[in-house]
Amino acid sequence: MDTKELKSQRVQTDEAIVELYWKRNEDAIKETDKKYGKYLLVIADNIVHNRLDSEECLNDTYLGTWNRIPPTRPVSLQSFLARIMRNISVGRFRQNTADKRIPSELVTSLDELEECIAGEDSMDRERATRELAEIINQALGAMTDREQYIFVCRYYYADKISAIANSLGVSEVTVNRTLSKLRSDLKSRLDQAGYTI
Amino acid sequence: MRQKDEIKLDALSMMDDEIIEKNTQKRNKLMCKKRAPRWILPSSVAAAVIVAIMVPVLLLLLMKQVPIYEGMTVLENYNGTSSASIDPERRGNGFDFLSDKKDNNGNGNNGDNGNHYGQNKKPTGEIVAEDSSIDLDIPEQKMYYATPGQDIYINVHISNPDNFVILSFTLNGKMYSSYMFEDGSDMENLILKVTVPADAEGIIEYTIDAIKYVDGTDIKDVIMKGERTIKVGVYTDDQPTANLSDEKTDTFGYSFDVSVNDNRLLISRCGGAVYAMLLDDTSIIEYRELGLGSSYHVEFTSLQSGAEYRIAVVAYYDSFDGKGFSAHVLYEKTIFTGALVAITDVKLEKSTLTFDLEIDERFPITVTSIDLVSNDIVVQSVDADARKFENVGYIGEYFVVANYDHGEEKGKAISTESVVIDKLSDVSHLVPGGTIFKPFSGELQIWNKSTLDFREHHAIDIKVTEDASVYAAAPGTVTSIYYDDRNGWVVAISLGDGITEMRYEGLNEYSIEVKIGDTVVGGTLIGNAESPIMEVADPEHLHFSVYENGVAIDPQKYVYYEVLPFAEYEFMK
Repeated sequence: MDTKELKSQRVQTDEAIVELYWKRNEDAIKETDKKYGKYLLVIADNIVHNRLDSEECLNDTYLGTWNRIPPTRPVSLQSFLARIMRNISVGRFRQNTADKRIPSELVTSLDELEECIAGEDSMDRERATRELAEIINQALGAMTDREQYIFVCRYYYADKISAIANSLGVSEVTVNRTLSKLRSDLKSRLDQAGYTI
Repeated sequence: MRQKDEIKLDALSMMDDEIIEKNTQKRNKLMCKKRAPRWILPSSVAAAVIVAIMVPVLLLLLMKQVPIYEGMTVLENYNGTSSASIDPERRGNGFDFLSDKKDNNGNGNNGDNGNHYGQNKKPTGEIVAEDSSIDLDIPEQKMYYATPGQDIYINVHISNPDNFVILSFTLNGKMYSSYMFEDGSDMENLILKVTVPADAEGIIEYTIDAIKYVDGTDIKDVIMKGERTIKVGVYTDDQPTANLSDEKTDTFGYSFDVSVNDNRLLISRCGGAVYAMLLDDTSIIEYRELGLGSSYHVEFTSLQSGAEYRIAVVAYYDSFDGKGFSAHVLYEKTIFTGALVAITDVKLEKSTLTFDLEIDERFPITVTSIDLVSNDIVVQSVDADARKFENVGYIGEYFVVANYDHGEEKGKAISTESVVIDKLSDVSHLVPGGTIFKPFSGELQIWNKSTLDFREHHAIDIKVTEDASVYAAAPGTVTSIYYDDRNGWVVAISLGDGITEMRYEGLNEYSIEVKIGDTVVGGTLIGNAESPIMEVADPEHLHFSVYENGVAIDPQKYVYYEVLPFAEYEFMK
């Protein structure tokens, strides 16, 4: 696609923006920011709870995207960016909370999981992580589409309960009830697997 | 961060990719949707809200609607009379003017005077420029047309559902009351008659204002929403003109200064445009857009040398002639670019054709040979230094063609002048040394020594001397070769005008040099003369006849010979 044609449109399509990355045209970043900047900042805010950090995560996300495309050609650019932003934000969160706890939605969501993932800190972190991930994926496989959606929004993207409720058009009570059921189910699976950390 | 939290974070980051991707896309869609807040009200409160909203709406519906002015039009027909013509659709394609150009040579040929050498080619009929690259942005415009002194009927459109009485309105500052409205008016269509001034020219505008209506005892203003002005175009003789000056021709170009006068602002006020154009005989080659008022210098370059073009100044505008927005030719002229090699001063004196040659010394030109051409056939060639052709005496139109090298390219320059010979000066052109033995007799019956009777003689007999060769008198096409019981072997040549045929009769069968379909020029060898069968008692001669529309005519029209009394001709002795 001719770059001149791209410039004449107000908001580029995902396909057009990906093409800019492939052509190594720096307008790709500009167009990405124009279309998804605010959306990505919300993801970061949920996790790092600090505007400056969020903006740094945003820049890192753009860099990460620039380095991944090419060779990647994502079908859904928005999803691609969301996952990069989430992971970068979690990384920043880890840095920030190395010594202290920061009030963020991610912290809250992790605290919620405390009730099903109990136990003391263990030295075998890798094994524990692997086993936990396996059980979480098993639990995900058994969920309905809606339950999966709520679980991913809450525990992967650390979305607020109100935001999840609003997106589904249900009450916060409904979302909380669902999350509680999913945590209970997860706990059963962890107990059955004899999982402790 | 506690290790437990790290483990949780890491594990959550390892969620199945497909599930993450699927739900991320779903999240993207749902999170971006704005949902209406969910209001939950008690039924009594809901009822109160509905009443609070609906009552004012109902009240509004019960209120009367203020009339709204929507616009004006000019009626095309009113009471059977034509009011003013409206012509938004009657537009030309912008190039109609070019199809009016026709060549009127009237001589029945294909219009290019038999000249196929490319240069000096004259326009041959309709000129269409459908392939022109001019992007005419013909503006959308509503224009009415009228003539000076004409009555026109303006219809004022008002949305007036409650049928308020319209009291008056102002048009061009003059107030018109309801009693002045024409028959057929109602409270939504007010018809007013106005007369176009007798001295009106150009665009006349009619602007409406201050429409008053009666509401009970109050006089109020109608809401003005529509276009308040309409335009009526009146034809004027003072149309735009173009003036050219300082015209210069070069070997490969043409330039001039041009100014366009638009006193009545006919072009500018309708969004028209003016172009200086260069055309050949079929299309627009180049054009330049001109402004109005100032003088512009226009140059057309990279043209063919020695070629014919047309220059035109064309304005696109509405001249109020009823045809709408269309092309108007303000100036038109045929030009010739200079030739690399020019042949001039072509003259014929007796049978010698002379000419001059001019070469553009700025270019590396070498003339290699010079031809004398008739009917596209080279009849003589001379060296580059020669400036004459001898023995030019046969019927035909002759051009001089100079063949030259221009660097690595070869070219031909053809004379713009030609020499036309329409009559042989002497019968010896037909038969070398020949003399008239027996003349054309028309209806007069003269003695035939061979048939021993009196009969009409519809030819001239040219007596052969030492050389029995017979040469064509004029250019044409051999249409038939046949044996005639009376006249022996005959070669018939049509002159191509659909009327005239020359017959060379009494030829020796085995000497005929031409065949049917051959194109000949004056001086082409036909064959040898013997004698016609029925004139075998006479000396060997060519029996030469000319027919027009199948009727024999006196060949004197094409061959000069001295007319003597019959008794003095040799056949009588």
